[in-house]
Amino acid sequence: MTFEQVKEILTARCGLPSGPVTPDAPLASAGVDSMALVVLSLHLEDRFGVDISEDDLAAARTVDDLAALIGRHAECRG
Amino acid sequence: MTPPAPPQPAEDLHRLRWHGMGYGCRIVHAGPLPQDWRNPRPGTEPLLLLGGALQDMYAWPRLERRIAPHTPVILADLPGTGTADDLPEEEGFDTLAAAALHLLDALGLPRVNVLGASYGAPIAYRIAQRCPHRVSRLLLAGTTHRVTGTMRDFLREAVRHIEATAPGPGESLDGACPANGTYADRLVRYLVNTDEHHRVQQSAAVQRLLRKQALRTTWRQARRHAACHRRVLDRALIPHGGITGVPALVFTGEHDITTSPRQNRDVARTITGSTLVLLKEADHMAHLERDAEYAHLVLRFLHDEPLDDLDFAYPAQSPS
Repeated sequence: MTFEQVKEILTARCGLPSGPVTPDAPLASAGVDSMALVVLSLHLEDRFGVDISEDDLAAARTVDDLAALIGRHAECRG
Repeated sequence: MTPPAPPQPAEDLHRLRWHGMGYGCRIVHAGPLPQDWRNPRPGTEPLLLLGGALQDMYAWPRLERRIAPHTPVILADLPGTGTADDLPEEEGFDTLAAAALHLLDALGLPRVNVLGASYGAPIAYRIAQRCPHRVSRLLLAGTTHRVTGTMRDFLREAVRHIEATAPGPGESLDGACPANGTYADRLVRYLVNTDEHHRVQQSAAVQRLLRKQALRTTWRQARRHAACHRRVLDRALIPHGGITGVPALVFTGEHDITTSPRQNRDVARTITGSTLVLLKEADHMAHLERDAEYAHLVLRFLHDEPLDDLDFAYPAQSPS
């Protein structure tokens, strides 16, 4: 999954303002809180069939890392 | 090329003591605090945010992020919550209001806006009733005179459940309190309108988040939860006498079952000139379900702007 795809979900689905969501931003700085992680986890499961818990998502350091993490989970599923 | 991220809100942490109890607060602001932040011009007074029973001063990241660019936000861990010392069980909302007033004194703030949400509402109400000259605007989110019916039964049972359990020998109070599954499920049904989940935005995510947080409750937190539940059960949440002379907004989600729209309206009736607003597609957890709209409503009220033309809320009412 690309950074742009993750940013789209974080802003459109998780309700985060787009400005702080940059590739290098640590999750907290990007506004990714516990609610955003739950919404992201549910959306990934519903929309892409990717089962990844909010705890696993929280392990990512930056938004770019988050995209890479989701990408790895999606590949495993495929 | 991706533009640089805008500056993050800054925060100042304060540790205070009152009547032998340690407590604290965060002041969240965008950029340096202005020189005159303690005596700002009307409409830009800081916002004191008093949150719910199971929340601490870090529980409102979404609201603080949206409000801080406009005015500093003060989030408190009053005694009995978060990093603060325990509040003796026999102490109630009068004590918590006195502690909040001590906080304002300690920070040198003569006048603030006050938002009390859920468990924070009885505290905010008392501050405005006792010291109307110190409250520029009062906002109450999800409030009631008294917890009734099945909600009352749930809280009684939750207290019994928590008090019937105890950590084993050598087990830390900061360890996870096991066998919380039933409690977590019931807590979610107490705070979220699960019957109307399809009409409430982000309901599935809010339920999952609350359940997860409840499952991670430590022994120490569980005991505090029980104390909070008892406080809500035993006392008159809203004191007699009403409030005059303070502009007030009472609001909640249209599907709130924890503190129903009618119960919110009854509280609004006791505040002269108050306004009642019901948010669409939200319940008691509106700050999570509709965080952008929640913040927009708060800012509108803080700026004395009309509340009649909000597409995410029903027309404002004047219950008093």
